[in-house]
Amino acid sequence: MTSGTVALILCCGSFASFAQIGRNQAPLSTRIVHYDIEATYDTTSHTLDATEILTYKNLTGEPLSTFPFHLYLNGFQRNSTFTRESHRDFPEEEWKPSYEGAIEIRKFEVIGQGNLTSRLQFVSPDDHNPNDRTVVQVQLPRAIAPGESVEFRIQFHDKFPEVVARTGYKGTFTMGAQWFPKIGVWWHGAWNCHQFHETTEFFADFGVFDVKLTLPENQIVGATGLQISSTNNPNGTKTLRFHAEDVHDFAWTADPRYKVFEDTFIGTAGSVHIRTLMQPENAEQGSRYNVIARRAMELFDRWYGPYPYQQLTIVDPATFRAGGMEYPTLITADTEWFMPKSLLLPEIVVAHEFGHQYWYAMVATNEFEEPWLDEGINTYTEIKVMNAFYGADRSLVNGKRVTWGDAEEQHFSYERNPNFDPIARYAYQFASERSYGEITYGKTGCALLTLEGLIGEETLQRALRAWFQRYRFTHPNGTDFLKTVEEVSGRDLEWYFKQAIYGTEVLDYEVSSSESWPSKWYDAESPTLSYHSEVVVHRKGDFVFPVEIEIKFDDGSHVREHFDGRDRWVRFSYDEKAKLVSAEVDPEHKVWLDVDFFNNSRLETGSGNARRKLTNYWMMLWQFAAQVWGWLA
Amino acid sequence: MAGMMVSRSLVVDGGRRLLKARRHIMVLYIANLLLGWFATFGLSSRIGPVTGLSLNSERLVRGFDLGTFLELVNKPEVALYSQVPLGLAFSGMFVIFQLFLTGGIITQYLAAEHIDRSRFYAACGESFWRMVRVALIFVVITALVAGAFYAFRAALDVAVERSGHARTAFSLKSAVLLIEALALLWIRMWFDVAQTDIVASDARRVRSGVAYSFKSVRSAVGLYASYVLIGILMLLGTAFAVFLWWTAAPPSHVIISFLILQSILAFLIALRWWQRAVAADWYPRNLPVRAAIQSAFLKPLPPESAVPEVPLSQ
Ligand SMILES: [Zn+2]
Repeated sequence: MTSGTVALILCCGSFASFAQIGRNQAPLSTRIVHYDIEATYDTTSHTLDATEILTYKNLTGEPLSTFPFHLYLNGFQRNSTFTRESHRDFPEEEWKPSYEGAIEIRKFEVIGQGNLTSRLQFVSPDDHNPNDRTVVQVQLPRAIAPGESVEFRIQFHDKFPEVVARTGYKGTFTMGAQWFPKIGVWWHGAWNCHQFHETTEFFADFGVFDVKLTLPENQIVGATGLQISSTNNPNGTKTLRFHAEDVHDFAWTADPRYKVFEDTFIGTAGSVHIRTLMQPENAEQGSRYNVIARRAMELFDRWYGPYPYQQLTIVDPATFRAGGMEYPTLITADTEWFMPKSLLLPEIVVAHEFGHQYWYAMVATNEFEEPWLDEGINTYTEIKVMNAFYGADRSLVNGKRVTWGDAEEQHFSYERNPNFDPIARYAYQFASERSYGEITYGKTGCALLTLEGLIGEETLQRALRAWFQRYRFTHPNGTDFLKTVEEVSGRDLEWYFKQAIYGTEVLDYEVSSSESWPSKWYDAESPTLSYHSEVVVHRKGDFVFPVEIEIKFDDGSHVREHFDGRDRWVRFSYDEKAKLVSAEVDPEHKVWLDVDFFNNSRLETGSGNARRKLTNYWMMLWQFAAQVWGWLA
Repeated sequence: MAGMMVSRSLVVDGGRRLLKARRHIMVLYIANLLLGWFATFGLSSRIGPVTGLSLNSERLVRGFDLGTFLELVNKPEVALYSQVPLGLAFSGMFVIFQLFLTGGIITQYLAAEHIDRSRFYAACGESFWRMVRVALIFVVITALVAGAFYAFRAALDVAVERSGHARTAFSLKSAVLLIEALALLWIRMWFDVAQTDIVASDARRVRSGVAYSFKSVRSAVGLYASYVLIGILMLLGTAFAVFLWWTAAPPSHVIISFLILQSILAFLIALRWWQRAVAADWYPRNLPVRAAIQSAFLKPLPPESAVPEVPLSQ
């Protein structure tokens, strides 16, 4: 690529002017922060030097003199809480010196209060780890009055790690995420500024970002918001200017190897420019990303409300460690060049990360404390999007002979370990990373599918719409969500949330017995004219949930029964001319929290088909293995 | 060109020798089938009660729902992984059985006429321990070579990981894997000849047989070409049958699926033994060399040995 502005325009798409940005005349959010950052990134040493001017508006209603800041890059150090927890859960992962990352505040000034660098103090509110430097706090000599603004002028230096999680470099690829000192959130009367943990994501206030990023001319860059300008500098670098409004974070990526794919989505809030940056190896899959992005945008627009930003940037990272992550108006996906079309992982990851534009970027819940509100709700909406386009049974593996639904995958992830942790738990307090994932994504996904079965698909959709419309650009909590669902559905659901969201009770129903016998069984002489049939449904788990039972007879008739689940078991008896054929709990498969789908039904006449099929494969497998060993003999 | 000519006649003549021993190859396949069947007993008895009365198992019958399968095999009462030792045991038994039959089948390969059952089993019994020793040497040498290739691939991984060119890296690694497969095939050929030599010469000294075979196969281009050719046939035939199974076999018809999968396994056994038959066909043509080298310290071939029955020049 040649240098010069013309070439830059060709490779970076069209720039927006300030005038164009103002699609939204009035601010969408209460803009508490304004970040003005000028940064220079050195692609050789993977370091960044920057000056950040942060204007913080004190809307807390009380004077503030203490201010905490996140320094996430310090998580990538040997003794940090992040690394300690990661090693606990993945002891086999080696530590490489290149994994070391850092963010250092070189000068910290408060306009009108002077240089306060010496007053900076690392704090570890979550685990008191003295070696964790992911939160720094400053005490101002003079408090900031309610309604007053304070301006911080921070000079900082970043050392990007080779990507361990989400941020850093890999080869020529750079992901600049969580790369600047970010102020905590005053929430419910206190500062909320957690350390960086293995399982935690992020939480920040809305505002405006103006970022000037200087890097080598050959870099193709994507970032939160819109690119306003690009200026070439005499030293072979260029300075790109980005502007983003009503967002709470700013991420960027750069790689000279990106292949750019452009697309447009026309939504109810106007057109959205989709800009997809692909690794050259995966370039053929750029259209897969764009197709599912447009589909997801269309459904979210229709179901929940408009996407108000003018651009969505989709990044195909050089490593899976930076993949599948969300930032305001920028998401990272993940694929491999050989990804078969029938394996819908790239589609799922885009559907998921796009969903976060709603459940994270706009409805900005606290990801440290209530991760289920973004990851869990988002898993549910990802399932809805994937099912809408590919069908519920094949929304993950859409093969000719082999299928797998996205919801089933979530169920599989949850049912193996259903009760280590409740859904409502701080992200870093889960038993392990595995439990965090299985519960936050898997169980919440299943809990919302079960809720859908309980109150109806359309009602839950309306509830999520209300949740979005009411709480976008704010920081609601779990109670707000549950109240919204109750309000929209008009039902008291406390009993359900108490068990599903706050409890660890396991939901498992089984048809423990079903049998028919001649009504006059004692009279061997008389012809059998009718049968007595009994079905016993047993609640194996402690989770109490009302279920439907369908009982079929051999004359084609069937009955529906209801079991409120309060007792441990219930018996249904019939005197009919026909015999039982089958009994099935939850015949419409609405109760996704049920950990065992196999014991939900019972046939009178068993079938060996599944057993024969599987043992056939198992036999073939061992015969083949025997022949392979045979090559050694 | 000459190499290719030899290769063609070796393949055809080897095929004739294979047909002569077809009953024994069939026995081997039946052993493979039965031992595979025994390996399923544990799983079958565990899966049966879970799936037999459940409507949910329909998801595995009408198609193949991966989620249902994974939930089934992860259930504590099924625990698929607990069945792995049984599978390993029965597949190990197959290896031992094959080692036992090897001496007999090679004797049949080398003989001009059908050998009777007592001679066949006598040959099996006589050669068994020698075949075990050959296999152990083979495993050691294969492990060394495969280990070297593994280290090379690991080094390559580190180098290409830095470059970030995933597709080029894949092509490169595939090329290395292909070379590795060809190298291992050559070693297999060498040991097939060694086994033939040990049976043919009734050599008690396994190591000298292996060493001698190494010397004699070094320039056996035609033999190696035949091995590669049959190897390619194996791959093509398997690929075709898998394709047929994947596209044409109805998911709920276990019998059709069974027949296709078993025909693949029978085909693979037959072709593997075709390779050995080619080695047996090649061996006597090179026997004079062996005789010249070893006549000084080997006892004369016993009269019942199969070797003299084979015409030395064709
Ligand atoms: Zn997510």
